[in-house]
Amino acid sequence: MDAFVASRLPAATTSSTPQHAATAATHLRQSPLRQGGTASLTAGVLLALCSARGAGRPNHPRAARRRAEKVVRHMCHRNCHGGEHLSPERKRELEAICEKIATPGKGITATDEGPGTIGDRFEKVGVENTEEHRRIYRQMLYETPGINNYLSAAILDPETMYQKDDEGVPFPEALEKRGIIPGVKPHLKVYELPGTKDTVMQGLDSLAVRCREYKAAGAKFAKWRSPLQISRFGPTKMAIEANMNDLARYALICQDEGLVPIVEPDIVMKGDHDLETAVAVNVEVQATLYKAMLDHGVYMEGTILKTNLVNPGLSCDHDYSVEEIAVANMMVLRRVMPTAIRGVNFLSGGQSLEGAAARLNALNKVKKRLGRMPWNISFSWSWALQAPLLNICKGQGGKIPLKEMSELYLQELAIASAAAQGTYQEGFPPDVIREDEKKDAEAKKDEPKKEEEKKEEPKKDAEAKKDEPKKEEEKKEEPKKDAEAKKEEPKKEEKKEEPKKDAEAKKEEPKKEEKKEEPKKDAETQKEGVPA
Amino acid sequence: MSLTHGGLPSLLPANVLAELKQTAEKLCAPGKGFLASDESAGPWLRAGHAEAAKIPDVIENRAAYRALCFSSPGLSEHISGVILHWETLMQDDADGKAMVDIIKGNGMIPGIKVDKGYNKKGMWGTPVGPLGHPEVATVGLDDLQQRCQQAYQKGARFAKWRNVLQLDPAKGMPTELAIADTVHTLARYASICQSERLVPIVEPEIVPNGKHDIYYCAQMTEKVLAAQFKALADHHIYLEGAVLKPNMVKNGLEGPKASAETIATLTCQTLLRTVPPSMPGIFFLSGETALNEDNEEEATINLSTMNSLFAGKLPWHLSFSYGKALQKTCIVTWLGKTENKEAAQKALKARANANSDAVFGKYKPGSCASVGTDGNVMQAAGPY
Repeated sequence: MDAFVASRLPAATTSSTPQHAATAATHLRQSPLRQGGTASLTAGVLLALCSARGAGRPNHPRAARRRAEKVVRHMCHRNCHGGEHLSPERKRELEAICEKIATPGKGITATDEGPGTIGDRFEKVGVENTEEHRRIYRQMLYETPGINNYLSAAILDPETMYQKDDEGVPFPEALEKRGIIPGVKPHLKVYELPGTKDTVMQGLDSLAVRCREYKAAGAKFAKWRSPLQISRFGPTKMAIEANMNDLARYALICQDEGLVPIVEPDIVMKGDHDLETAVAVNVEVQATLYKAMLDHGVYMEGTILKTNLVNPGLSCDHDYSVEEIAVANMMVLRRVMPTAIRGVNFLSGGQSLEGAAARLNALNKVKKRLGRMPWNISFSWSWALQAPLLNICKGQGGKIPLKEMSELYLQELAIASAAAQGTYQEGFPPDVIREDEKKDAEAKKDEPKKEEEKKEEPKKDAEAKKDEPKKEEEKKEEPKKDAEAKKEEPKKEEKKEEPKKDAEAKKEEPKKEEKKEEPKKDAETQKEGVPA
Repeated sequence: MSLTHGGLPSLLPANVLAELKQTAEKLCAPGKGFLASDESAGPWLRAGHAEAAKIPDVIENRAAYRALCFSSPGLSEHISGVILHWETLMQDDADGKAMVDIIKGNGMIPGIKVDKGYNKKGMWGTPVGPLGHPEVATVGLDDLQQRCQQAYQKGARFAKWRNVLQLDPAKGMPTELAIADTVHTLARYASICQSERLVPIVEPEIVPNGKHDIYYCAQMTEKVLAAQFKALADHHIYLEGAVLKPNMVKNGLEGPKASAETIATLTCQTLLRTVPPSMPGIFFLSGETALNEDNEEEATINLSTMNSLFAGKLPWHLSFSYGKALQKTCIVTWLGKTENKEAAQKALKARANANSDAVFGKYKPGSCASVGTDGNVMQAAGPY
């Protein structure tokens, strides 16, 4: 395996060898595509020679043609570069974050309401909107013991990014310590395009600077939501393209600043459209989004999708079964979503917890049954999780009963996690884990995870055992395969279980063998033709 | 309301979509690929072999050669579909048996090449590329509707159309115009095919001629495929009933040579970024190779490397649709002589078997007999 290939695959092993990065970087620099590459140098020299010869006759056809060619040459394709400007380390960093976000059975708690929005919700249940109230409420959402079994990430409002918990630890750090990746929602302003009913979100101009600040504060990802609405005449193609182009540019900027972009096209549920219309619009919107992302050169493997479940409009008079909606969602994803984006976290958007969980669950069951859905399919819920929590505050005289809220939150998350694995049964709430998941592999072995084991299908066991010997056999196994194989595991078992630990141990062996092979291959690569 | 349409206009008849899906599934049977037998002239002229090129290119020879190929015993173990030229679709063998019947009788599905090639004069105002002519536009849409009908009646169940793009970084090729024309034409063709119950093979070929490196090819292939799938979505093509025939991501013929692993990794990376999982299969073209390369072996090794490196990671059937790369050894074994028929058929089946192994990621380089680079001649790329 040559160094170039090694550098392109997300790998713990290859990142530890700076030699690869250097070789890869040199290799890339010498592509004729790069500025200052040898191809353009040769062209430049030729041009200089030609110009010198024709210097005395600028109107000569040859001189004119050369001027024209010079213009054409500079129109070399700079777009659709697939994130090539990112260093191999940066790409691996982004991919590692995406992989953690896309942990099977885990999802995102979206807590990014601004002080105004959360204030409205507080006031409706009689709680005063103070900074301290916001702080202790969010602290409960981040530090309730046990939630890190269900959460891979949390989205914070900029204010919360700089708040601290009771121990004085900034929230991003506190979350990171517990294995929940912190991300930020940069402030955006909705703007209605004059003469239309279409909206765009404003916030690109200052985005790079803000990303830098948030990254310094501990953010690992960002989120940008572009809402669209289905109506008799919309969303128009123009509105879709404008919004999706903005999402693509936001993604490009984030990645350049070291943050994973969660792109969120949200087709709101308001309206009376039927499911078929919703499917058609979702296909159009997402197809436009991915084309825009590819054109802009977004590194697809370093992004995550957050979107609405495909649903009929809220005031649609036809009733659809949960199964029908699941199939509709499967079709949309299969029809447009690239495999390179490893996960989708669905928003709740006005659905109740039970409704959202039932639909997410059905979709994961469809995934297990029909296959060919290679993405992690999970949740990123805000209102579905928080509405019942805030309800508890009603009639409490302005107090925030944190303990009660914690308990309910845990139960909700257990439901969400089950739905993300297709194991949720309405009316049979899953058992709740109240201890924090330990990061140490040994501790995982000790923790009783019998509830999860009972729920898992015997078929998954057989698949897991079939796959383990295969992993040993493939001596040429790419580190990327290892990373991706972890994604496959929800189809078999949960991460915490012992067989996975065995598999991890077995994975170490081919990796070690690979390390021995790499120095040899480096020598080979250096002999390989480097672009002239 | 029928969810089988999944976002496509509800006016599309569900039974047609079902038929397309069924045909596509058969074409994407595990381990199987296509025999691209749709060359305009005798395929031996383009095999890159001096001796073979001497065989007279007459209709009897083409019929004899193709009948030989299609009736190869056991070929259907590795070949699901055979792409035919219009002449062959309407042709009988020397005994009066219809070519399509030979194919169907031997367990394979006949397909039809429906494009009419391109004029090398090219699109006005586009730069001249490594092929020696400007960017070109493939023609044939005007009477496509009725030709598809006729082909279906004759027994074809899938179709193929090839557009060609050239790479030249210094000249900004392919230009936006060429890409837009290519993806639009292919989408229109796909739409017409599906309306006549033929599964379209969508082939936006980026030829390897040129001095560019593999990274430029990767970037351009990604750009073209992104545009192609957007166009297919805009034209509401039923992806479950269509397949892709792309080039592998490779270095230019005169560019720095990339290893099989690099080819495999960049090709799969590009496809994973652009091809949605609803498309059931991707069938690579073999394309031109350098004179010092064994065209057949390279194509098989590359395919096998992809399927082994990315086993379990690819949501589509990843296979082959080879013309030259399947037939070279067969042609050189046949050399126009009836007494060589059996040996030639065995050679064809052997290479098809090798490619079948490649689909499972298990091909061992060198394990399939090949005439190799012996007697390679310079061959002209172009419409065929």
